[in-house]
Amino acid sequence: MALQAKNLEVTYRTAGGRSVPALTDINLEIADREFVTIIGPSGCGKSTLLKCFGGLLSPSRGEVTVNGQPVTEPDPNRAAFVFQDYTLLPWKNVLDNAAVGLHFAGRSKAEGRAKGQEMLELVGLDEFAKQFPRELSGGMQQRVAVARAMAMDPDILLMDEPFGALDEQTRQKLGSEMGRILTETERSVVMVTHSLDEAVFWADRIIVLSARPGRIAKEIEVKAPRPRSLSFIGTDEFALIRAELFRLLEVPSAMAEASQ
Amino acid sequence: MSATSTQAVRGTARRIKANVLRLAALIALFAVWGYAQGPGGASTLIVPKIGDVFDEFLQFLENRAVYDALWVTLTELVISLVIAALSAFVVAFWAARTDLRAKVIEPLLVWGYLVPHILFYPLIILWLGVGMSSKIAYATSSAFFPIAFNCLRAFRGVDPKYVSVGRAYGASKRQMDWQIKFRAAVPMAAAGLRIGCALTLVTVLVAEMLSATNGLGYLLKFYSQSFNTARSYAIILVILLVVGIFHLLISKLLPKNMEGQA
Repeated sequence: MALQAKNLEVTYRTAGGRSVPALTDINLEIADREFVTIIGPSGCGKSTLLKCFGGLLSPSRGEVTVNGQPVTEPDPNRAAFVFQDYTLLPWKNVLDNAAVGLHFAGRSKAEGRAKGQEMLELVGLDEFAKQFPRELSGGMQQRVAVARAMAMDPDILLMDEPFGALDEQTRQKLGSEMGRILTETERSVVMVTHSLDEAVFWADRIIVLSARPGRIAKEIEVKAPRPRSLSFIGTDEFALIRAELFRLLEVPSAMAEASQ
Repeated sequence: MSATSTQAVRGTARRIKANVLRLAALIALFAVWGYAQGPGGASTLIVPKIGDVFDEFLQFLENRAVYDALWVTLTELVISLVIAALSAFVVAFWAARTDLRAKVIEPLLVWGYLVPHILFYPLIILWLGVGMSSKIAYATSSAFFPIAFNCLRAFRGVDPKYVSVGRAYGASKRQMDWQIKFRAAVPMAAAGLRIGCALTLVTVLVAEMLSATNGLGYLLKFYSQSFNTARSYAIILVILLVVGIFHLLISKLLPKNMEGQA
């Protein structure tokens, strides 16, 4: 098992000194090579949960372990992030952005370049190595961000609405491409999304969070083998799961029922 | 690709058009000058003959005093800018390290920015005399505050998303300081440096006009007080050339704005 969260709880302290629970009672296990999507109403703590998984945020209670090791601080070899707004470093070129984690880890320039180039080839951007992020489209920048994460050979990939800032067509194209890459590299992936289609299309398992404080309302397995072609969207399985997600997210009483 | 080349062609066409219009504006200016001087009947005390100004300018090329003045002014400019920029950078970097320091220092820098430093110039003269050191002190104190304020704001205002990337990808404290925070602050700090440059130019020239023994500002005052308008215009031309080269150098040396991802 790759990742385990035990009795996770996160409380925020407001400016007024009140503590507001953001996440509560999260128990979760993610297997090797499993693709898990996390979906829930906005403000339910999806991104907070992802930050706990990656060590960017310490939970108020409970703990996260990766391969048995407790997560206390970020370690890109253990879990690498792909952020929603790409956040490539604008002063570094594409290749140096892809290799930035290796650079911070003190690896040699040659090693970083070689690995970075390899990852850029994987995401189909090797020709753009010398260009700067601002010269690339949003979809391309996000592919560089994926290359940056993959260059760390992480056990787990943590993706925070990675396609959220892209338009629908780019999203679909990038989505099916990434699906292939992520399946081939045989890594565990946790992806936060607010799109029903994305949640179903990608996942081996969908975690549905309830509104604040976020708790796991329901887990849904998606049986179809990955990688899936876009025709999966036309199947009954897809439609049924999507309909259930829709009901859970749109009808508050259904969510409450599921939480019981 | 063809879309980009069409765009490039359009861009070039627009640039050429803009340059032609700029040239036209310059010609118009000289035409007005020529008219005022000739048929307009304006006094040579106000607008000298264009030819006279250029004669004076050409004479400057063989005039030892002008080279001396140029050297004095350039020295003052460069020394005050370097001192102001370095000290402002160090102060801002130190102040940005903690919230408390930033809270205390930032308003001080704002006040320092807003106070008209020329109020202290007579005192500076008293302390340092009418030579170069008083110009350098005055220009340095004027340029220090905007540079330091901008640098402090830049170091404090680093977009937290870059800090997140640094943390997530394992940057050490040192790497976070220099390779993330410092690097992300460069565009805004550079903006401060540009303001500092402009202020240094103005303050040095004004200081030379107020009281000095040498320098381009001093020459300008000297020529205009002896009613030599043509020579005054010529020295203004020299000063404008210096200003232009100075700004050109600054814009070439300072990094371009790297913000704004597509």
